[in-house]
Amino acid sequence: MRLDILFVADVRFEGGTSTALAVEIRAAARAGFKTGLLAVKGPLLRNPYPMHPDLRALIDGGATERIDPDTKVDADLVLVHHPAIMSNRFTRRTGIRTERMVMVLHHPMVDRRGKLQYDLARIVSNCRWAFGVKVWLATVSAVVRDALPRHLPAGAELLPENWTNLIDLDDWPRRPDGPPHNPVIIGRHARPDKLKWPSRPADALRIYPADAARYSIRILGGGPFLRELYGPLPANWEILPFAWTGIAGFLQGLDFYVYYHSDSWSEAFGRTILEALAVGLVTILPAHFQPLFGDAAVYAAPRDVEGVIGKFITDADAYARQSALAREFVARHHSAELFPQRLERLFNISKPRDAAAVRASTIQPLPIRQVLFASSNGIGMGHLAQQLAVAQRLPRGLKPVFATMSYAMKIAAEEGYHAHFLTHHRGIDAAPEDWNDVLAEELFDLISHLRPAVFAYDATAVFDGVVAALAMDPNLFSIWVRRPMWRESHRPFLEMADAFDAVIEPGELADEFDHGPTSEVRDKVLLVPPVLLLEPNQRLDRAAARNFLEIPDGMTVVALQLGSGSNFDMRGVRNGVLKAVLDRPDTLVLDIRSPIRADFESDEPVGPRHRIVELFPSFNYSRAFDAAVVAPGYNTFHENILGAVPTLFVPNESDEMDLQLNRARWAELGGFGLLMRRDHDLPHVDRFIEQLLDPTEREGMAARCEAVPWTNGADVIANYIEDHARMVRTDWDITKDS
Amino acid sequence: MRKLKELFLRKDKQDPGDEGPGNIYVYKSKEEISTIIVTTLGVDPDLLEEIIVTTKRKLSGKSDRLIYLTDNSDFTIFRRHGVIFEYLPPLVEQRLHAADMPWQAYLREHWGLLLAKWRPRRVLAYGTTIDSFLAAAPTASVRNAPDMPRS
Repeated sequence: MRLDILFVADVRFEGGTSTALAVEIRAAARAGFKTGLLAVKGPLLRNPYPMHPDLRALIDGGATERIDPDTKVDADLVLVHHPAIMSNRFTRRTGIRTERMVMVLHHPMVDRRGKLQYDLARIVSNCRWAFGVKVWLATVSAVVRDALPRHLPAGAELLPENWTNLIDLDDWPRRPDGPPHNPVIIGRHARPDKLKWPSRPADALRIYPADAARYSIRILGGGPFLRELYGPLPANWEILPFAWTGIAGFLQGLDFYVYYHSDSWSEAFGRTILEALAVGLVTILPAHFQPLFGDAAVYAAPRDVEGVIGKFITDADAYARQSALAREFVARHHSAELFPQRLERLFNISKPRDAAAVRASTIQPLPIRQVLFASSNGIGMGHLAQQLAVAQRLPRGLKPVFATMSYAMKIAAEEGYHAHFLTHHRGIDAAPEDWNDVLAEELFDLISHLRPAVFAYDATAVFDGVVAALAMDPNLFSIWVRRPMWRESHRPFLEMADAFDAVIEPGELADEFDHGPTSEVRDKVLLVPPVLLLEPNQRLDRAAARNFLEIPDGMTVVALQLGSGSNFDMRGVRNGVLKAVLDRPDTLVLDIRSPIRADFESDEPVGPRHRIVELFPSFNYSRAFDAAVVAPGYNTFHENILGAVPTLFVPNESDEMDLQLNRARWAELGGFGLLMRRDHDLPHVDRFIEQLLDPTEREGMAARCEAVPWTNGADVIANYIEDHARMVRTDWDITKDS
Repeated sequence: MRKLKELFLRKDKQDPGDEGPGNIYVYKSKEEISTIIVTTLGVDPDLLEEIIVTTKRKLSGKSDRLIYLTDNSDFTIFRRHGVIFEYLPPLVEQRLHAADMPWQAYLREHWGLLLAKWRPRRVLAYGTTIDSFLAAAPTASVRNAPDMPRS
C-alpha cells in the first residue's frame, strides 16, 4: 500500500495530542492525501483508555485507514506523534517502509524544574530501529525547542520551524458578540490533572474568585483532585467532568478564559488555550505564554487577574477588539488549512490532483486477526452469552475463537464459531493446584497455535493457569471482563487485575446499590453500559413468539426462570408460584429450564397449563410473556428490565452468587419490577402474583422500564477489541525480556 | 514433556526436582488413581449412552476413572451419567475453521497433553481411532485472502 502520510500515535491519549492529530488527519484528507493510522500502545497510559473518539470517527468515516502492523506500507512520510510512545522498541516487526520520518515532540524534554521527561537519545534510537531512517524532530512550540540539548542524538535533526498545533476553525464557531454577563462568567477546560492547576490555593482564588455576586466560575475537567488540592471549593465554582464533546458550546458560554497551571508543569503549547482563542474569548494567561500567543491573549500575574477583567468589563470596545484579535491570531497561525502548505514547504509533498479518487484507491483489506474468548463455567451461561454478544459485534477481519469451561459450549459451535472446551477442576474432581498446571498448558497450546491478537477473559475468578499462560506472551493483549455486584468473598480476585492489560466492567442499571469490592476500583477499569446478547428490538414480535411457543389466544403467559437451584433451593418458590398463577383462570406458565441445568431428574408438568421448555436465548421470545418470575442474575435482570417485561424478581441469595438482592431492590424501589425474597416473603406469594398480574401494575412497570435509557455495552467492548487487535506495543521493554 | 513448564523452569532457573516438566498429571496430589480414556470420536450421538453404560459397567473398577473423549459438542449425555469428558472439535469444524491454525499440529500436541494429564493405563476406542482422527486433521493453516474491510 502506498501512502502519502502514515500517522503513528498512541490513539488513547485523551487530550491535546490526539486532538491535534485528528486535525492533521482531517486536513490531510480534505487536501486529498492518502493517509493511514498505525496505533501504538505506549507506556504512559496504564488504565484501559479507549481510542480517542475523534480518531475513531476519522477511521470509521474513511478519512484515514487503520493500519495493521503486518500491512506492507510504503509511506512518503511517517509522522510519529509524541515521544513517549517510542520510549521502548517496537515489540514486533512491521511492514512499514519510508524515506522520511518526523517525531513530533508534544512535550518538553525537561520540565520547569529541570527534571528529565524523556530520554531523547533512546527515543531517536528506537525510531531508527523501527523505521531505519533519519529522525526529523518537530517541536510543537518554542518551549519544547528551547528544552532540547545543543547537540542532538546521532541520526536526528531538528526541523527549521515549529510543528505548531492546528485547529479546524469551522469546529469552533465564534462566540456571540456582546458584553460580558453579570455576574461575569470565567471558565477553563483541561484534562483532570493537578498539574493543570495553580499550585497554591491563594493563586487559585485570585484567578477564579469566590465572590458569587460578581463571578461565576465554570470548570470543565474538574474532579475530586481539586478538593485534595485546595480544600473545600467556593460555591460559585461549577465543576463539570472532562468531556470530549460539547467543548465549543462550553466555551461559547464564557466571558473570559483564564488558565494558569502548576509551577512544576511545563505546558508545551496549550491546545485548550488555542480552542478558547478560536472561539474569540478574551483570554488571560501567565506571562510565560506570551511567546506562544502574542497579542491574542492578555498576560497577568494571578493578583492582577481581577483588575484585568474589571478593565474589560467597563470597556466594551476593548473587549470586542481583544476578542477579534484572538480569533484572527488563530486563523493566521493555527488554521488547519495551513497543513498542506507545511507539508509542501518542509517535505515537498504536494496536494494530489484528484483527491477523492486517490483516497478511494487506498482501501485495502486488513489481515485477519483472531480474538480468543475464554470463560469459566459459572452455574449459568452468563459469561458465554456475554462473550457471544461481543463476538457478534466484531468487525469482519477479526475472527472470534472460544475456549470455555461452560457446558453450553455447543451454543458457540452452533452459532458457527470455532470453539474449544476446557475442563474445570470441579468437573473432573481434581485439586485446583494440579488442575491449574494443566489449564496453563492447555491455554498455552491453544494460544501458541492460534496466535490470537486479543485474549478476552470473562469470569469472576481468575485462575493461576490463566495467569501463567498469559505471562508467556506479553504481546498478547489481554482483557478481563468482569461484571459488578461482587460479594466480599470475591475480593481476593481484585488483585488479579494486574495479570491483564485491561479490565472492562459491563455496567449495572442498579449500580447505586453496588457496594461490592469492584466499586472501589472503577477508576482503573473501562466502564461500559450493560451488555445484552440480544437487544430488545431484535426479539420476535409478540404474535410470532406466541405462535412459535404455540400459546392459545387469550392466555396470560407467565415465564418462570429461577435458575438451576444447585446452590439455592428454589423448589418452594417454584411450587408456590406455580400454584398461585395456575389457580387463576386463563393463565399459562412457561417454566424455562437452562440447557445446562445440573438437575437431570425428570419432572413432570403439574398440569396442562404448565409447560417445561428449554429456550436459548429465552429473551428472544419474551414479547410473548405477559409477566415473569425470575432470579435476577445479570443477564436475565437486564433483559427483563430493558425488554420491559413486568417481572417479579426472586433473588438467589447464595453466598457464591453476585448481589442479586440489590438488583431486585433497585427494581422494586424504582417501580420497574417486584421483589419477593424466598425466606422472607414466600408465605405471601399469592399477593405477589396478584400484584404482578394486575393489568394496571404491569402497564406501569413496563412504561417505567421502557423509559430507561440504554445503549449496548457489547458495542463498546467490540470497538475496544478492534482498536487493540492491531496495536504495536511499546509499553514494555523487549530488550529486557528473556 | 510439556512446553510451558519447561519454559517456566528455564525462565526461573529452578531445580525441577520431582516436579519435572512432564509432570502435569491432574491427579498428582490425590491418591493413586488409575484412568482409562474411552474415545468416542465420530460416534453416532444416539449410541453414546449405550457406550457409556457399557463401559461404566465393564471397565470402572474401584480405582479406575473413565475419561470419555468426544467430538460431539452436546455434553448432555456425559453430564447425565456424571462422567468425565474431554472434547476435541470434530473434523467438520476443523475444516470450517481450517485457516485458524495448524490443526493437525495442535491436535497432536493436545492429545499428548491429554495423555500427560490423565496418564491412562488404557485407551479404548469406539468409532474413529485417535490416530485416524489426528491423521485426518488439516495439516497446515492456510490464511486465505484477507477479509473484506468494513463498508
